Amino acid sequence: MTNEEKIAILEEMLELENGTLSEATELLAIEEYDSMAKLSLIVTSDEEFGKKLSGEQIRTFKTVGDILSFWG
Amino acid sequence: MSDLTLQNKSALIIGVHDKLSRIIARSIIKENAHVTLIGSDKSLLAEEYPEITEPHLINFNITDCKNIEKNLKSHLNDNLKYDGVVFCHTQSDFKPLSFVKYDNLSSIVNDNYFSFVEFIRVLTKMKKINNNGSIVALSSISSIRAMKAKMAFCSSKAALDAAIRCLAVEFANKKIRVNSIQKGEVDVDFEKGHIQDVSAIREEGVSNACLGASSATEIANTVIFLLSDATHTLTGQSIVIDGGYTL
Amino acid sequence: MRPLLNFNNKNIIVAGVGGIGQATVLELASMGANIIMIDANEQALNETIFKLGQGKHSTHICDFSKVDTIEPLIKNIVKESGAIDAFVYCVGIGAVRPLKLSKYEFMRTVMDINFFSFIEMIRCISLKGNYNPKETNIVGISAIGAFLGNSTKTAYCASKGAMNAAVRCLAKELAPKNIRINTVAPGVTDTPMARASEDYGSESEEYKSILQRQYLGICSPNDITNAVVFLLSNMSNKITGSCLSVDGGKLSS
Repeated sequence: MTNEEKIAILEEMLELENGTLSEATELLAIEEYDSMAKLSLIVTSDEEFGKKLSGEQIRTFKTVGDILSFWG
Repeated sequence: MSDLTLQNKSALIIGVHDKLSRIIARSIIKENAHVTLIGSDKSLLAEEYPEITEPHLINFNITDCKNIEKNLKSHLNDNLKYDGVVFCHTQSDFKPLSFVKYDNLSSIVNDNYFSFVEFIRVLTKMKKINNNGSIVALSSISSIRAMKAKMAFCSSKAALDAAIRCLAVEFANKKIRVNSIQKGEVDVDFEKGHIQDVSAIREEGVSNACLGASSATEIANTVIFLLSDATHTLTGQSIVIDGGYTL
Repeated sequence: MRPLLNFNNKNIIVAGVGGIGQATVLELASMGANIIMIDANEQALNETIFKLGQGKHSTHICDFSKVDTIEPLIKNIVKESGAIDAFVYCVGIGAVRPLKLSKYEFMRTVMDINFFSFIEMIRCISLKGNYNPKETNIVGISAIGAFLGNSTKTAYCASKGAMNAAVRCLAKELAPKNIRINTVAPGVTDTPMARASEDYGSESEEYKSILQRQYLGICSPNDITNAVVFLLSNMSNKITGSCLSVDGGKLSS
């Protein structure tokens, strides 16, 4: 899967318009990236990418790029 | 206080693998009840309860509702009857609504509600529950409060609690009581992976309950209280033990 | 100042056009709403739309025991009618049955119709683009059986208990989207569902004992509809996650 496609999945998950996010976007700057979004991230990582994401790990993510790297 | 003992009583405990269920089972055994345990995992059963053997240690998939009747009929011999039935099995997870599709929702409702009702239906049909008996189900304060990302779990426990009220009325003629325990935060639950994830996300360290998290033993004590002769007319109730969380 | 009971040109889905559903459709339509009616029974839909006369109303058939048909149905509705402003779930089966006859398949069907489909409809409606992000209101018709024990009604009461609990959670979860969601719990109401119960009938013992606790009398469908309209309107702007009992005094007595 390309990075563009992964970003699109993230934008859909956060209910953002296409093109809002880039790899460099800082997560703290995204208003929609609240605790519910982080739960959605755990579920998406599992269901779409087969990767188990823990609450501890999420705290280490600083940018959109960190999430894309985790998804592999 | 001799009413609180379970001496000479027999209890069937369904769902005995997670830590809370094990503590409940062990506490009931300690009160001198004769127990039969049903669990889905054969090797865990042998490991956790080495001193108990068939027919009092039963293995089959307790959430496979279509086969509960067949399995109970094949495992419970004619002599076995129970004064108490404790349903400890629970399934929970955290999922925002957009992820809660039919399969996920129905799986949680299946484990926490359909399974319980089917067990009780079959056990009463087989006349396995003695008159003056007591049925206890483990519920949660999720049944009565809004919990974000836990809609499936909350609904399943509310279904369970509505069912125990109805069954309490339906079984009154046999003097069988039916109650549930709505627990809040329990110390052993913090070892569960999905609960740790949510704590990390929400950066919670402090309990929301003014008296703090309950110990598993408190829950076990309440189960014993409900199974005992001390509660002959206590029925259709959901007893809240939550350290004051719901206040 | 915004008028409090303004449904002019609002797109409102009403699922289920039985006693309460039909009364709700007629009332909301009379207040200017565009009603999108859904039911499994084509005849009931035709009867209801015939009573409506003029207006931008539509009907859709849906078997609520088949939860997987809901996602395409909502997609279709939004495509045809635009984003939804409100949704009322009046679908339910009464399901009177003693426990020993309440096998798994039966319990499952009651849950599918009374609860799982309700949730699936909300899940689909609350997806971006399908609802009005300024204000969307949802009401589920529950029952006082959610709170009281009733012999032979385990499946029904459990499905309504589940509905109330779900609404508490969804109210909190969907609040950031400006979606309010509540339930109405009717006491015994004069509808085809109630009349189908063999104990119904003014001379029966059951009827007399109902009136002892439901001392204001049997509800009419309009009594329930009034509560629904209130919860869909701006009069209830700070009410969410709650259950409004319209029960002639039954729960408190």
